[in-house]
Amino acid sequence: MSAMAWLILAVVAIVILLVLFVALRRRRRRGGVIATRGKP
Amino acid sequence: MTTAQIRGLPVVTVLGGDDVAEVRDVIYSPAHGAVMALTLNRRGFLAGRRKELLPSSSVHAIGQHAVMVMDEQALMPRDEARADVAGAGGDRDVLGNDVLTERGVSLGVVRDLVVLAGTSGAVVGYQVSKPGGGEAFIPLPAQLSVSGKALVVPDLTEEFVRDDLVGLGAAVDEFRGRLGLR
Repeated sequence: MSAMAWLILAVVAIVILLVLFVALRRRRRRGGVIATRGKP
Repeated sequence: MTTAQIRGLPVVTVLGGDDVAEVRDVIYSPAHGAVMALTLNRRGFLAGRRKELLPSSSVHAIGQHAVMVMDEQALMPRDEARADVAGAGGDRDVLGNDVLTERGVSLGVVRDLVVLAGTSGAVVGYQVSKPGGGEAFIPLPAQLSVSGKALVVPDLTEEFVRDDLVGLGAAVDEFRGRLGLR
């Protein structure tokens, strides 16, 4: 592959990783609703 | 209001106007039918969690755009909190739980909790996605058990599934009356 193809591939990979990182970060930051233990 | 409207809100002090944290998780006690505490993130996109909890009793107000506390002293170190609250972990997340009746009929999947506005976190019902599609609300106290995987409710709950929040308000009183809890 030419240098240009490698460069495009690298840019695409970085963008995909960045999108995944942001999505995961947003998901983790929102948290959830945690029930305490004990009989209702 | 629902907990989705609370999670992600900034925590702001009344006395200083400081933006001290952001709401991460809602810790809910099925036994008390109430929100007991909020876990927190630091402010800023790359900032991590805060070790402290915000107990419901220290919340000044939960508004549309912020959770208000008097000052930063309202935040409590996790080890000073009640044992059941301090020990609450992500393995008991209610969101996504299957709602099953005692007879094994699925009423849907928990999407959120409905919190009574203007109170110190009283929970009045669950918002669920129905198996056939669409949203519904079931009143509290409905659950017989909560595991982090499934929510088991009495068979009677099926009669009190409502399609909107207005219907839920009426169903809560009626449901409690039928269970003899009024």
